[in-house]
Amino acid sequence: MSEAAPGAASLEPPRGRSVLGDLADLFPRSGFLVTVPATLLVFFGLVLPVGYLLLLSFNPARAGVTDLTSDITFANYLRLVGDAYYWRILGRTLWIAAVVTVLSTTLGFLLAVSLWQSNPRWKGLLTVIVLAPLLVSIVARTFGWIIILGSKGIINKLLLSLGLPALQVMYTDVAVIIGLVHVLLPYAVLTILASLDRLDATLPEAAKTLGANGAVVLRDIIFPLALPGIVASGTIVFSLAMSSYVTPAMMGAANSSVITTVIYQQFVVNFNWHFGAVLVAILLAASLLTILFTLSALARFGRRFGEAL
Amino acid sequence: MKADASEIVVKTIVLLLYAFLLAPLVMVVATSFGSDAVESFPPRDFSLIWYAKALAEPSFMQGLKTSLWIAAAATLIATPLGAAAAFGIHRGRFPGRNVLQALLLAPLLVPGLVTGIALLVAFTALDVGTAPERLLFGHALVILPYSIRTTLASLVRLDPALEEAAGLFGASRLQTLVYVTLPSIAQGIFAGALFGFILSFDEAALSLFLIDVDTVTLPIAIMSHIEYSIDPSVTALSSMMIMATLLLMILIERLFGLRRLLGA
Amino acid sequence: MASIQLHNINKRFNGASTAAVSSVSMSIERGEFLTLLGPSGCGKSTTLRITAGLTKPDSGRVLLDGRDVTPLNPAERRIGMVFQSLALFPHMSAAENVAFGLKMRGVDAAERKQRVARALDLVHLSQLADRYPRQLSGGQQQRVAIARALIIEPSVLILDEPFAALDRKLRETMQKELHRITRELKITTLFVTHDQEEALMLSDWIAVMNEGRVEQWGRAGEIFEQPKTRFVADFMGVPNFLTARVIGAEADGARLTVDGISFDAPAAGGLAVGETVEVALRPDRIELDPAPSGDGATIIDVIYHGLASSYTVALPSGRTLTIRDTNSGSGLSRFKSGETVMPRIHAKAVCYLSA
Repeated sequence: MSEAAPGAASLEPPRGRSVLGDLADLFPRSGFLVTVPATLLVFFGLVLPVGYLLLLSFNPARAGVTDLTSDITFANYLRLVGDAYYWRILGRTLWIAAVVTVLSTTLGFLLAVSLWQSNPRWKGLLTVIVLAPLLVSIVARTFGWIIILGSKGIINKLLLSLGLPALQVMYTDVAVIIGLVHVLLPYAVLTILASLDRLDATLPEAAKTLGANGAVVLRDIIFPLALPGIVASGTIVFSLAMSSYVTPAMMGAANSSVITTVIYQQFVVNFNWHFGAVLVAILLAASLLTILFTLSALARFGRRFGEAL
Repeated sequence: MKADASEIVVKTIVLLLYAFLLAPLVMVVATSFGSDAVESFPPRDFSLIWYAKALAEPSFMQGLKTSLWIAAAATLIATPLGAAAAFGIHRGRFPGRNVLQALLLAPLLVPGLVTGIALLVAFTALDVGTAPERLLFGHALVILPYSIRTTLASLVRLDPALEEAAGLFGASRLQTLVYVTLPSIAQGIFAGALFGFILSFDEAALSLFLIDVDTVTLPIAIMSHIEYSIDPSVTALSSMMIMATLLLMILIERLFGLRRLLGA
Repeated sequence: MASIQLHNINKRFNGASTAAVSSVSMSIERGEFLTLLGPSGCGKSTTLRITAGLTKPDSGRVLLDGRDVTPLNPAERRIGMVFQSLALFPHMSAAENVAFGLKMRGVDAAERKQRVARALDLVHLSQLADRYPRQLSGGQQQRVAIARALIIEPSVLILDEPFAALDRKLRETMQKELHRITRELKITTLFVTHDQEEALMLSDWIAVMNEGRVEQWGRAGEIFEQPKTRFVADFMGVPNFLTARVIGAEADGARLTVDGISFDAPAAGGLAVGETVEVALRPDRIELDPAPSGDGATIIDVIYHGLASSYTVALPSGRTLTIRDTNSGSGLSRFKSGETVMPRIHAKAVCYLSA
């Protein structure tokens, strides 16, 4: 370190450049500019097309016509309301989604707690196992279930070899439920885990030193505190289950449809886009309602639990 | 502390759940190595014959090529767009910032099916875009929120003192960005890009509405094939997809942490 | 010429009900070490950031080496800074971190290499030049941060509570290191901490801050010996606050009384017999004599500190005093709980408080 007086010529501060001030100055107004390309993509790719689609549902249904006209009609909606077939479809969709939600959140809760408390050495590996299904193509996963549950699948081969009758699981609602639980369980685990991570990890131990057994810890300590996460995961799973297409299409019965497979039919097979748009509107409305309902429920919980949220 | 009865029950259930989660993946990979014309487990012998058949099947190879280039292109589009948007959301001070953030993350809330249909309708009404272009657009749209989320997460974790220090030691705003900010969040952006690639590759519901006879993605090729016949070449192909995904996942876990990517 | 001068600095953050910094002024000469000392939230970090140029004051001026730097950016002020989180660039090696300031100033590679080697040598870190921050221990990271700040030959070195997160042993080592380096280079230093021992050890001047204001400002010894306000006394570990009555006020000394006990006190202007005055009594300047007759104060608690012991002593009036007394040659406390003692307050124990 030289003994030169401070500010010696070779170490003059850089001149003539704008230097960082308060952090917010880095992107004050230009902050908006850099978001423009992404905003355009979402606006023209999602907002406008979905808007167009919803408007289409109010046009008279005519095969092959896709342009918006100014005839506003509720005929398509009335057709939906009047046809019991579609009510049954909707009912079945909601019923399957509800069962999947209950199963996924309950099992997801147990898995999440187990992960939360697991030995750090194993935690990474176990996390990968839980999240793996999310990143493997849904087609490959569903195909795997076909191998297991099919009439010539693993389970039936096992049953037959034991002299038991074969089970017809594939192409039933049960198969769809199994498939959906498999797909959505990781989402449930992730959401609940996020909630658990905000908790003091030593709470279960503390409870045990006071005499609680495992079940009490789970029911009276962890469950109430993880409730916001559980409720959130329920919403996410329900919403995703309702709008899932690939699993019901590949594993469900052809005559036992859910709303998504019916939507597919309307657009790709029947070319009745106007009516299909009505079904899409219903699906979106249902998803939105679920989210709004949960947000208000969570707001109430938030007041009770404060920190845990 | 010693486990009590209720804990043992829970542990057993959890173990079964892990098995449940892995079952279909394991089954696909396991049965792909047999030489039988029908899947059997355990496979009677070890053979790669169906892998060879899968790789020779033209519809599969076409689908693979399409899926790969669409995933690559969509990632190349969505990543810079998303990263830039994340900077704008995190650093910007303009009215409506929160609304904009919600809007940009909206594709996450809309089911792939609905997005696909909406795009189909819009593209048809405007009569624009070939199937590859439409697929690319749709995939980029779907990946965008993930790119925004990961870059945003990295920006939030960045110590603001780093940029203050850079400025204090003489760096201009541009130099700070290039020498300090971007290198610090590079890992996060890359992990997000990798994740987007995987997501695009796996995508099925949205793609169904944007394909045509000549342009098909791999998952859709598999779906169609299953509808007409279940021969083990599908198994081999699915098995390859699973193994490739697992490898990429381990890479992401090392680079960034899977949970951080998917969770917050 | 003063090296650091703060003139009447004021700062209130948006939406805050109270000012973060209020009418803060101080000045030190080149080569001196100034510490801003106080509890969290007292405004010391904000004052430091204003001096460095990272935050703009609402009013007031900052002068470094006689130059008004108030409108200037941090890089133009010729300062080097060690941040509380250290802010080492994680993707650069120690050497690259240290070289950063030189690189930004356009120093060529060959000369950078030389200067970096000298800087790392100064902080005893030469062999670890190519390691990355995550591969370095806490103390080593500190040294890199210090080297990075010094290499650009700043006129002022600024440190924001750099040692707060270190364990005791490491903190002591780093304090000694900093003391050595700043005295060796004779560099003007501005330091912020909440630890009064650290402040006393490192500084020439101390400004004790509370709620945005400077409560007392002076040489380190002064602050320690003669705290002037109740807050400063409390912060520096001088308890025993009482209101005493003046019974004698001469030019060479005064006499005070409280609870029937009279004692000498230093001379002070403005003392009038019959008036009351607020004082704090230093615990180490009150002696304890045994009082076997049972007539005096009672010891109600003893805390052993190795070389000395703290006694909580209850006067007949009920008031308690904290008294520190050196232990006997055998290392044991001289008195036990329950014993009766006679406290003798020396004049040097008295600190007059003004607020």
